[in-house]
Amino acid sequence: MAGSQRDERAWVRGAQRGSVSDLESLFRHHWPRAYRAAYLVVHDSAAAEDIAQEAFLAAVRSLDRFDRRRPFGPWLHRIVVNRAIDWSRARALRRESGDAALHTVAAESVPETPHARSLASALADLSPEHRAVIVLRHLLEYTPGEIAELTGLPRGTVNSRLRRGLDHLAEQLGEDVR
Amino acid sequence: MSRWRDPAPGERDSGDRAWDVVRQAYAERVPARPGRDRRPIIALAAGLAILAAALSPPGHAVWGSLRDAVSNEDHLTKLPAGGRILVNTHDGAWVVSADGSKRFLSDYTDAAWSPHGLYVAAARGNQLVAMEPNGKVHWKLARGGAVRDPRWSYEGFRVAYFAGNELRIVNGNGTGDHLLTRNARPGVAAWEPRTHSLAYVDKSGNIVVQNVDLPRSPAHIRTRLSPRTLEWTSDARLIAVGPHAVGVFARRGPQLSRFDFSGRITSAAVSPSGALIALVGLRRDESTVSVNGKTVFSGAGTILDVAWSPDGRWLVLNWTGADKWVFLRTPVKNLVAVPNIEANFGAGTRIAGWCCP
Repeated sequence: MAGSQRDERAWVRGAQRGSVSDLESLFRHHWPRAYRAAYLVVHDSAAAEDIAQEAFLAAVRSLDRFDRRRPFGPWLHRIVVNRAIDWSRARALRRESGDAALHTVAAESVPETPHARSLASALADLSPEHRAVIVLRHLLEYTPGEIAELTGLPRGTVNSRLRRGLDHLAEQLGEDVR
Repeated sequence: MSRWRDPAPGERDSGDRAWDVVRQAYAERVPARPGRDRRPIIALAAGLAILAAALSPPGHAVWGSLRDAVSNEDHLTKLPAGGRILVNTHDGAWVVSADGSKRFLSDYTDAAWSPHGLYVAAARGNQLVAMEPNGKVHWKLARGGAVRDPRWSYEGFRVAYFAGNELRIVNGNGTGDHLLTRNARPGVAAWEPRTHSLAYVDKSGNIVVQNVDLPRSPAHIRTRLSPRTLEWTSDARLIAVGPHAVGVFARRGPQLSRFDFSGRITSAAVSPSGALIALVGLRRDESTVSVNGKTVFSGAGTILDVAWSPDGRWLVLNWTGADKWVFLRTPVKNLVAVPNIEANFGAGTRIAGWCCP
């Protein structure tokens, strides 16, 4: 993936100083994985767009206070994944209660590629919390220790969710997904 | 496994759409100071604090806290005027009690006190949540867009909040949610005391005052202040705080007075009695706090927030430039500085309000 940590710091510094092009570099670098992470948790492209967009808006609002010594990605990913879990839970509650007065967020869409379709379908059987841990590990490539830190979960819980999730994916997809 | 690298449906198009929104938000945000590493500012703040210690009695308190700041200890052991302080951080919201104890309310954002401090309204993604200060959730409401900046009316019977590009109203018990307008700048709204009239800023930057219960025509107040904050005084004058000027308006306009500030105004708060306004301005990396125009505190670096104690005798300043909270007795008789704020609450600490005993 293009864009070193040094580039990222330079983009954050530039954006803090008012450079739109640096902000755009930061955005273009992080958008695909932020969106994909949200999508794989919520399985709804409109919601994924809202979630990833809102994470970037939160970043813009906090830009002046952001500590450049810390990496931007984990901070953004934590927002994305937590909001994606919240959204999935909220949708589940709405379905259970059948409260028609609540606003319908978005229609679900079908993944475009066969690979994406099968991966998304296999993930869909898992709970949002399990999906989030799998996405953090295999899409965003965090270590279990980093995932525990990002999500506030005990390390053992992260490991058990990973194990259970990967077993399920391997069974569904017929291959080792690691 | 390569399939993790497959683009998700809508990934590319959504990026272009989202970039337009993010770029616009970036353009509308309060302009940053010229890029600068905060470490020299903190060093300068420490230097000025030492100087203050030598020069003034209140400075001794700063000196004491500076001495303590070498550790990451929690020095917030009590609030000088009782009550409870609500804090928002990047990680979630906190309630600080009078005895200094702190309760984390989970990963909520934009938390706000109800008028008597019995409840907190907060946002979590696309949800508006009302809970007790101990975290017990009473109701929540999901909307299509990201929820932010809830505000309770004077007696807690209405809550105004932003969801996506909408300004919405819901009853204090979570019922009767409805759209007020889509023509509102997110984050800027204030309830008029003793009424259900809400002042907000429309997308062209003018102020609108509208009774949310009555189908009466709203009042439009034209202004060039570009208000970032709206506050009401006890006698129903509206204070509009822009980035570089403050305007005082009659209840439905016109502008009664205005004063300009040569730097940037970072925060403002009207006292509980409605008689005093505290303003924080930043000029050449020095923040100045004034109450009704009289300077009561200054320090190097940014002071992001100011809030009044419930009895209106103290101010709390969120002096992010020095990683401190400063409690200031007004008129200035005493000063208590509390260091290590970020270590104790986390990054992005903002004071949402100091509420009721």
